[in-house]
Amino acid sequence: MERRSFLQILGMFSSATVLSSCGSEKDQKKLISYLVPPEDGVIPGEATWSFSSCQECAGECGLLVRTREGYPVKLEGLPGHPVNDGRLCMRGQAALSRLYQNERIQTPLKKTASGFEPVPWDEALNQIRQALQQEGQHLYLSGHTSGSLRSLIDRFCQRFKADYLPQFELLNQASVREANALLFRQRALPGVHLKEADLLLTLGADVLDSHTNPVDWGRQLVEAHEEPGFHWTHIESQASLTGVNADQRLTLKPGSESHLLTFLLNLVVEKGGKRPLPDDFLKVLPDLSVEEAATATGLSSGDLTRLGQRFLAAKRPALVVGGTATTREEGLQTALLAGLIQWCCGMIGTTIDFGLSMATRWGDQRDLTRLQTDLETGKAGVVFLSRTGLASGLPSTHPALTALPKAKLRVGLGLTLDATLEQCDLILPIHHGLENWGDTEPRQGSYGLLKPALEPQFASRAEGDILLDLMQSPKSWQEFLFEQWEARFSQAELKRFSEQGYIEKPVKQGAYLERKAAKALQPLAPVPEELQMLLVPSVRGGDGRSYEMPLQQEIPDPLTTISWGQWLSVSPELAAEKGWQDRDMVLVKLDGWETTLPIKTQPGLPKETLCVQLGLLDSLPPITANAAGEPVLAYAVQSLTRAKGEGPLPILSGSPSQDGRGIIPDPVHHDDHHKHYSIYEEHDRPNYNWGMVIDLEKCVGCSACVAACYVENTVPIVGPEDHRDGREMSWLRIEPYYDDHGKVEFLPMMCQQCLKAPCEPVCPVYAAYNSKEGLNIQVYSRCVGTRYCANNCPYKVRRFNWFDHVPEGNLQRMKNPDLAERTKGMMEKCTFCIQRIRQAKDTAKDEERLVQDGEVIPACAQTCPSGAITFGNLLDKESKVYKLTKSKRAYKVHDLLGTDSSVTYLKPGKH
Amino acid sequence: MNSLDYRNQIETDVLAAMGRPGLKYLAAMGFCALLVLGLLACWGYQIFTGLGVAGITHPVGWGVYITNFVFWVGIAHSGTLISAVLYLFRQPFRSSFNRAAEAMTVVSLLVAGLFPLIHLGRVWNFYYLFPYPNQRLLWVNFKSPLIWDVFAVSTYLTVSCIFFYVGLLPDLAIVRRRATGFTQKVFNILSLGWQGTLRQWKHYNKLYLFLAAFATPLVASVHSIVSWDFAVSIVPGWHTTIFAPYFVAGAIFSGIGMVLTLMIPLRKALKLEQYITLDHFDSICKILLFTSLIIGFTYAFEFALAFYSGHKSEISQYLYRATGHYWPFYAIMVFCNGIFPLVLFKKSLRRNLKFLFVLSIFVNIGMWFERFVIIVASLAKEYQPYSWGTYTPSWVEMGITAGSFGLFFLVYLAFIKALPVLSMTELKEPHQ
Amino acid sequence: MSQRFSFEQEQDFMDKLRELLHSGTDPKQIELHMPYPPHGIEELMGEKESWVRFFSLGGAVTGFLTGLGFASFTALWWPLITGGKPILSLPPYLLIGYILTILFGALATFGGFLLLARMPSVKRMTGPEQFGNEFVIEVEGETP
Repeated sequence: MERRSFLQILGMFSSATVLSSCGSEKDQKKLISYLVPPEDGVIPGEATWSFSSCQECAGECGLLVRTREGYPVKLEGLPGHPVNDGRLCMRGQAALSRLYQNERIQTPLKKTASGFEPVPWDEALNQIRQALQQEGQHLYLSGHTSGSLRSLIDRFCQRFKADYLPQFELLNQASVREANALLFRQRALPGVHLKEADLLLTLGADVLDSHTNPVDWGRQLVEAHEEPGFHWTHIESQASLTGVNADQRLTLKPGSESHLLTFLLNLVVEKGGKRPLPDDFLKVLPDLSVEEAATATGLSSGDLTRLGQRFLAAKRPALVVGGTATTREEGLQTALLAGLIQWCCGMIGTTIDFGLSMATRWGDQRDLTRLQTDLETGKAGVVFLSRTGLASGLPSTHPALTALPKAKLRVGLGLTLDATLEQCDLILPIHHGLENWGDTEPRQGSYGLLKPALEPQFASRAEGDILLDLMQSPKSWQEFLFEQWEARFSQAELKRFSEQGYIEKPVKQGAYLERKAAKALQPLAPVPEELQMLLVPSVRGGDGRSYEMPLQQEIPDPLTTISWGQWLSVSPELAAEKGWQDRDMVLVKLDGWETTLPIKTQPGLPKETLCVQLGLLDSLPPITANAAGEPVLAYAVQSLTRAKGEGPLPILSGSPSQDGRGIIPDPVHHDDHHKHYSIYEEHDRPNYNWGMVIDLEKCVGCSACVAACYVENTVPIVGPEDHRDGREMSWLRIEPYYDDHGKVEFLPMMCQQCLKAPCEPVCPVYAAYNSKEGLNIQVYSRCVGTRYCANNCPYKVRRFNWFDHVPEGNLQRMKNPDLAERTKGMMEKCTFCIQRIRQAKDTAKDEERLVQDGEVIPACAQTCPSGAITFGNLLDKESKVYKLTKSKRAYKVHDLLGTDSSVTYLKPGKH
Repeated sequence: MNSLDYRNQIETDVLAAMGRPGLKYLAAMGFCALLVLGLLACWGYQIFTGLGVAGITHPVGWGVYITNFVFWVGIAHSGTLISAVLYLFRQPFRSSFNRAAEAMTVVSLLVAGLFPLIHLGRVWNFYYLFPYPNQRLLWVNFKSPLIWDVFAVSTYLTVSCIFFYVGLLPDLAIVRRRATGFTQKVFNILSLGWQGTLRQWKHYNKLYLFLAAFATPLVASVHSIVSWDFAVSIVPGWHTTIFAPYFVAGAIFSGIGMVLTLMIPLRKALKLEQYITLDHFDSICKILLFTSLIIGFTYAFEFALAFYSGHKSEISQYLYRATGHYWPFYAIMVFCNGIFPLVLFKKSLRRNLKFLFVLSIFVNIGMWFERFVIIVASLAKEYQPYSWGTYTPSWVEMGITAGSFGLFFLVYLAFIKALPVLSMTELKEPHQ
Repeated sequence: MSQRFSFEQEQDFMDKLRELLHSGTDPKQIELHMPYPPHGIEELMGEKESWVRFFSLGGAVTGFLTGLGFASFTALWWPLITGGKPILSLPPYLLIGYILTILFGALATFGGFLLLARMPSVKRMTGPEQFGNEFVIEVEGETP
């Protein structure tokens, strides 16, 4: 690449970067850093923002990184980004802690008899180079990788005749991808146009937990619900966050998914869909009556008939399968049937779009067999394992793992010395995404930008630089990247890419039905009769990897309110039958695996199912693959018995029911008889009265707001023991309230900023008082810790610092410097992100105006994927928040107490 | 009855108690001192580690510490009742108890005063609670019940100390007269030159009367203000108008209980049977019985009020007290305070000292648990169901509680040896 | 020259005192020492009512005004809204006034007593004369 054009592109992308004012240590970049200082230099006390992309899952949401004094302190979604448009999920919010985790590897390490020892980069790379010259089949296995890095790995593997194995992801959706490959010749996960659809049927696909991109789904579902007549039915054999948020939730017996789809396909064929089903398929399609389907699935025939009618009546239905429906032995069958329904109902090309496919090159479990064979036959030369999470995703007895030592040299690339890297001979620390240049391709035709937001903290290197160095290329990773971009984008596109951090180049992709696929369709497998244990992904841990971040366990699971630790979800019916209570330890025995776990009853869970979240178990049961190579995460339970004692399980909710207290009322009473008349005059609030409206219809309980609050406000993470004592520090929490039928509603609860706050007058030292803007102020340094305010808060949102909570080591960098320090013995609580209000007011003051509507957005509202939270000035009659408070659904919690709170809730339901 | 011999006899009998301490006495002092050391160790540990070493948590932000505070403040009240109120009502039997009861008031207030400090999250900043302007000229919040507490309890302590000291004055002069050496020097100073002149007596009588008049409203007001710490809040189970009379009755009840606990062994050990008679116990037990009736009535009435309010949170709070997690404590409090003392309707039991001693222990236990139930059970089940929770005291709290009893008895034992336990001057005075 | 009479019995003491006064001795010449004040002694000696009550009254009134004024003044000095209540909230401030009424009243009464009774007296504290448990009459100067 020409030096001139390199500098040109770098200039384009560095215009707003904060990096490199102090000069980088790394060879050739040193020169450049002086050439391109940040526009204004680093100004103490002022935040700068840069673009990046989230690396926590394959969703690859766009990021805005808030940096203070050279260190990122907060991640926010990148507005306008095609997949997340400014929003982030809780995993994305927490992702910053990966950057600063103290377990980061700081130098290359080499395995010796006495453990790992640091080695210089040159020595490590030389060793690899030598090994690459030797005989053997070199292998490269990585976790999810997209964009230019994937191209570079391709070149690297070509150069060294290495086998670039399809990428390892535990939840690889292989059944759906295989079915699509067979049916439509597209090994892909298509996108969904929810706006186009009037009916969404999700079978097992936990779209709000972990399926593809939950942020995108959350956003799209809210938009779709704005269309009158849109209906979402979710059918599952577990109890997921996704299910409880659907308009209608049905549960079926685990393993009967293909029966249900056969029944539906028969209905569609009978009625005559938009496209006919070719004879080849008709011949092998089993016939299934309503009664048979009802017996198989456990659904009532009434439910089935209504479901069928609704499905047939829909003009533009969309069907998505995945999750627990396909992580089964018969997963491919289910996916094939779903594909056929999609075809016959004309979804392909309308609501289901292959042009929006996730641009993955994931492999499946069969690819691991390839790795395993190469290893076992002794053919394997150098094995590269980059960001795989192989050993945490698979049980340690998995043959791919046990065969690893047979490779001549194992090279691990990653951030931390995890279970996978511990198996390696050489460990190379790589940059975190925020320290690195790069690009992503979250789905076909969408590109995201990664730009360093801080200097690398350790002697790590970019994965690209390592590969280029091994290839003895004169180029740097940055040069390679710019070359790629230059080839991919026009100058104008490049400019847009640099300015907005993402770019979209829509792809059109048609599809046709491959008749030969009919051979793949098998007869229906009988529904297993015995109790089944399912390993399920979760909104907190995803496939389990996000549980590595302590914040993901600190924030409770929204359905169970369990924070730290592992548990077994059991249906209330089963627990009642056995006479078990929450926290009772039970012994679960599967074929060749057993463990004891505390139980938690989960309303809405089918009686035939037990659930454990991925990433929480100490040891995984054996994982096999189905015909498509998707891991089978459903197990027949051989025995389930009571073990001794109780598990130390922190269940944070004091009551699953709202005890008839009208905390989420239905209907809302607008009672003029009980209007609060005060003998006191109202206090004058000259310019602002900050208020918030939370739409419970939109809130799905995903807890992204909670994570955002933790990071924005440096809320301490206190760990399991304090949680068991009831000492969690969350300023904002999601309260689930179940009704008698197991239906759950979520209520985000934070300081209600009461205008007549009970907490204020009881404070002897004026640490709590009400500001002229209607904010309930807490002066930390004034607080002496009587805790009277917390006692007197009916919402119980005040948090006391029982101990000093100082983050360890590098994690201190996450501290938001805009907030006052809290030490032991102080009360703290939500302040509506007063630091953001202050900043907006400063700006407004400089411009001699008032703060405009939408100018201040607290961290929770900012990240909410479904846009449930609105914040603004209640004195401004034009503001969005004021208008929402006038809704017929509006109510305040504990309004009877006359607290005059500033947070208004909109009750769930349309009216 | 009014001879010189009689007067000298009183002095000899009462001052005999101030003689050389015996082994038992020293052992008791040593034990109490150990408990106090334990208190200091626990408190120090808590200060350095954080309040988290106590069991208090969300949502139960107040636990054993505030229970102890209310308990000890309550104990103080009967001292003032006996010395000031009964003085104004000219009840002769008060003379046998008043000194010991006043001492109990002062000591228990000293102990009580520790707890608001112990329970502070940042005790090193305790002076924020005092009315002084900080560097930004911000004063304290006089709307806060906790500031009322600061004023009420410190006023009560000050007035009680003055009252106690003034009552002692003529007796101090007697000690001075009968002592020798160093003790005499000390009492020379303590008695301020009292010589029983007409001028001294004239002003003294008025002083004592006015102090009694000033102290009398304190009997009602201090525990009312303590009760407003709770009643002024909106916590279900606290927010009720009957709290002030309920607490005052409880305070007097518990205080009389403690007076009995102290006086029955004291009377025997110091051989004061002649001065503290069964009639006196009979009279004081009637107060105990009367306050027990008030308390029993309140226990029932609280439920009526809760149900009458029709408020879900109120009703479920009271049901929770009686049947929820803390029901055994609720049962203890109802039995010890509302039911068991009713046996005092029987006259023979009012004069049976062994029985009274046992009863008084029950009363002490019952009243401690009453405060515990009011404070903890109310906080455990408030408005927001998500935030319901329970509380179990930690060993640090237990240690500090035990230490507070140690401190009380330590100082009280010191009082017995250092000062005359009965008002000799008053005993000399002929009645009628 | 002075005379001293000691009595074991209250009755004898009172009789002697009456006799002295009757014989025209000025009460100002008489100094009494009593283990307790016999009933009616003040009237006998023609004492006016003690001034302690004015100290009590003064202390109480000052205390009330101080409490109320102090609480109001500090609230207005830096007006902070708590719980939507008015800055000047009379009920709690009256309570402070009440408490200080008692505190100041008690302190002033005690102070007044010390002042009026001329205590503490250094002379009597350093070398006090002991009168035992008897009623003593000391007469200064000539008796008629």
